Amino acid sequence: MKIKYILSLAIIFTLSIAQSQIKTGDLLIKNSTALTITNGVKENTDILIINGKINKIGQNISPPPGVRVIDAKGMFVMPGIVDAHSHIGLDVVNEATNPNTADVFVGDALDPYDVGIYRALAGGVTISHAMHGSANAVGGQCETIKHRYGVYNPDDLRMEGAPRTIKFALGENPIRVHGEGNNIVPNTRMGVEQIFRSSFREALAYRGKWDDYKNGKTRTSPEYNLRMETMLDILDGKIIIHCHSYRADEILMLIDVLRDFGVKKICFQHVNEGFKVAPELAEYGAMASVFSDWWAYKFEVYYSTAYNAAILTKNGVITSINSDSGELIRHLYHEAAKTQRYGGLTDGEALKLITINPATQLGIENRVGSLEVGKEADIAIFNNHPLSIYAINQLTIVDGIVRFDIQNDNDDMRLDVDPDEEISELFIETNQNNDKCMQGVFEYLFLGETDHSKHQH
Amino acid sequence: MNRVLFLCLFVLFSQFMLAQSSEIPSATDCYFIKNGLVVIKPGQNPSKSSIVIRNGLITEVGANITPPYDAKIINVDSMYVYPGFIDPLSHTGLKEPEKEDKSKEDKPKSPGVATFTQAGITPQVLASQMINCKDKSINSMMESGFGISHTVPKGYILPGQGSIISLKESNSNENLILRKDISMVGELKTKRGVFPSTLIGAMSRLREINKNTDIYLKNIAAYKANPVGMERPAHVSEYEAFGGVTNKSKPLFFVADKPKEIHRAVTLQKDLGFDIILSDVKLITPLIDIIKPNTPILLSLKLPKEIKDEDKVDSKDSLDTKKKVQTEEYIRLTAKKKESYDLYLSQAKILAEKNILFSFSYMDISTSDILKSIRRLIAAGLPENNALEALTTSPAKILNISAIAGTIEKGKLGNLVITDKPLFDEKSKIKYVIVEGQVTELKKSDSSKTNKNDDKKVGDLSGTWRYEVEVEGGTQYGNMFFEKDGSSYTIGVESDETPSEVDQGYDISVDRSNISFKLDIENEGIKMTVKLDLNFTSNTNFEGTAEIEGMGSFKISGVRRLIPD
Repeated sequence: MKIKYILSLAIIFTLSIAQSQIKTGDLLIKNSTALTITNGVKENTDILIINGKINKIGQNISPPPGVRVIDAKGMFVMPGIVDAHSHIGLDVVNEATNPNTADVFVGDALDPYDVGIYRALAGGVTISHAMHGSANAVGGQCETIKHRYGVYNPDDLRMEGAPRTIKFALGENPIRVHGEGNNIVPNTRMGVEQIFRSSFREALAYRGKWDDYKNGKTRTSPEYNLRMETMLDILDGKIIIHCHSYRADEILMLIDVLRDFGVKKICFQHVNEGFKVAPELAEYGAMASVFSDWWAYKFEVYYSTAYNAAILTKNGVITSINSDSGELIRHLYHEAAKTQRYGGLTDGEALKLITINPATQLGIENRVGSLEVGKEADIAIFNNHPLSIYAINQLTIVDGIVRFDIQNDNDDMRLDVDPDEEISELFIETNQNNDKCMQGVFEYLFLGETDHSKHQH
Repeated sequence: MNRVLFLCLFVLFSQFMLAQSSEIPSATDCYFIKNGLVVIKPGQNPSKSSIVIRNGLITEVGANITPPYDAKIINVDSMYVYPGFIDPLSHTGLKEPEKEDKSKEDKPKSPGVATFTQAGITPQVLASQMINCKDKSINSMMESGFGISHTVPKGYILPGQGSIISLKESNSNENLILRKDISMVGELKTKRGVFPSTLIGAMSRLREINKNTDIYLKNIAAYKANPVGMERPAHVSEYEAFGGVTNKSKPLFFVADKPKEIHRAVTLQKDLGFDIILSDVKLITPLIDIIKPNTPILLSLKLPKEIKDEDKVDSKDSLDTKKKVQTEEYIRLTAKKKESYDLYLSQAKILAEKNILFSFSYMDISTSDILKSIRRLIAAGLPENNALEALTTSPAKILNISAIAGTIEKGKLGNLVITDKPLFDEKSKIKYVIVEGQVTELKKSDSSKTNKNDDKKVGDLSGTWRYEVEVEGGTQYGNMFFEKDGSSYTIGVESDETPSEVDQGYDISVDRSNISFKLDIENEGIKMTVKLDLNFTSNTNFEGTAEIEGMGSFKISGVRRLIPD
């Protein structure tokens, strides 16, 4: 028995090694209750997946030869959950050394071996927005990842073709790191605003220099500046801003800045005081990604309410509920359900908060976030309605491939095992569960000291 | 008058300099290596031959040649003769940089605006200007069989440029250099506290440097072509230096040890289009398919700690149920660890099977482990021929010096390694190393020990020693009592946390300046065995490790209490 187990682990191990191309699969899910998100609830429904895409949704679909059939009688099938704010699957979260690090890209530091990805799959989450941290006013560029746990090539984690996104941050974090830490701007919320304004102005001046060179006005080519190039891409609407924010005043401040520079694509993150400025957010077309009920972990995050998501939704703001945590990501469906207790959202409205809405915030709503023919087959199958407290995820599918199966959920799913590790008979310690929004910043500020137990959103 | 004196002094002085800079004198410049079992190149069987080396070059190889009249004959009957080894990446022969004075360090006004130098990015730094012909590492690499090293500076992101040096004894730094400034070294290691301080910062900085190097060179060319009305481009030595990489005249040796790091290096290679040599690689197999064909790979010889089959635990019948469950998990974890271990050890074998050009790198390995590690790779399936290739012809190819080194052929440098048994035999010992015709005989005692310092006598260690051990959550202190008992000791250990409880050490073994023993301790009701391994650096100090099975290895150090109790 034991030998068999070890053997099967070995097979999984070698199979994953052999893999280098992004794999897609074929499946037929039978007799399910399909929560389509965009087209209501469909009872007794079959879903056919071919080449990783939803091929057919209907009844009495017969399986093409060789296609695995999953009997989902009595089960609830929903699109894979999308988390618009996470830091799993990353080796580096913060390049905290400058108030503007638009040039860096966390996609350069992907970690496909992070067991956190598998844990997210266990919670039905198939896509997460792997974000840079909030140490800088203009942080680094983020990467939208698909939870293809088992792949070895970091590239296979990327959601190919997903729009570029970037992290901005307001308030205490950038002020503490740069103002208090290094005594430079920003030392106040006013300073944070000036970082945005001066960065955009500098980028426009940079473009002017290149224009002069290209038009032959000057013969010396200017230096290439990746930071300014990125700022220009934001101005040109090529990058969606995801901005760490709490207070209503600073949220309005950023909207003003963006209006002045003609930038439209903005999704606020955390946005705990969003309920105070929901109409203004809706009017600008700004989106909001919030916690269901998490606050009071620092001074600027006291004025909060569990009704936030519902108020934003009712005001027409495209709203999502995110995790920002390797633990919360495992039960985002519970987090969404809280909006029914606090704000009375319908099942459909609540489920949108973790599916099509975060997909919209990441610019991938045409590919995922609902059960529709032609969309990518990212699917979670629950034993009960996912908004029920009794819901347990059974199966998670990414691109038509089963990446989590509760029936085949081994204790040790590590892909990367240190051959020099010390194996303890007494306890196994892991650092997988820590919140990472300010990861690396404390080491940076205080050289060598870390306190992983603190929440640092 | 004064002037004449000065002149005289000057002449004398320069004479003196000339004498100093000339090579180490020897009685003859011709050697006859007689009747060895010569392996001309990897893949060939040893055949009885003799070799003539004159003026540092191989002039004749053959079975029936006669010694020249002026040759010193070295009889190597029944010994094995191989081409001198070539090290394609190390820091051999470089002066240890002086310790940085933190207060004097050039720091940026704020961390985000560091200059190249402040960020530690120094592509213009040349190993060729840092060579110290008297550095101990030259000799220790030579005694391990190497005749040639490619040595590169240490540092961050782009530490600088490498040179190929000859590992002979010389009084001149310049004379060691075979090929000057031929390469660039890169890695995603960053300096703390300034931009770029992380690998994502380093990646974006490298992308920018690559692009700006092109722009810089274009500006220089435009100015050269027609300076009229054009602002004169400022000289930037970093771009000047990196130009060698962008125009592909200097390969980039990129340090990347594990799959994610390798992926990042390959991403840069793809995005920026330059040639790289993946260096100091510890694990590549899972991503072997993403490597561009013709990318050479240098494997680190720092292998995982050896796992022996007898390390397996057997579950004892006496254990209670709870303990049994833990033990089963332990076995499972151990099996997975072993699987990973095998994956690491099979690297070289797989590269050989796939016909990928590979060699080794020697950045952070002690020379005594080199052949040991290679023998472990051979035990894990690497054919001996391929191992010898990785020591000789492959690094020659990677460094582009096949014309002068890597095999025992007429016209090549007189670099040889001579062993008493076949090279990869467990018991094989290096008897002679010849570098450019310079013969070093390794005395038996010399070749068996790796570091002469290890052998120093530390005398009688009896008495009380104060120790401190760094465990998780703090430092623990206590006393150790050594009492001489013939050639060994009796040892008692008393922790400050439980004073007057003295645990007795057992399985004590004394080897030169090294003492190891075991100790049974009880902590919060759990019995544990501690394995201590102490290295006495003098007769008043030791340092070493305290290993608790299943919990880890902790640093321990101690000083002798000079005043007796």
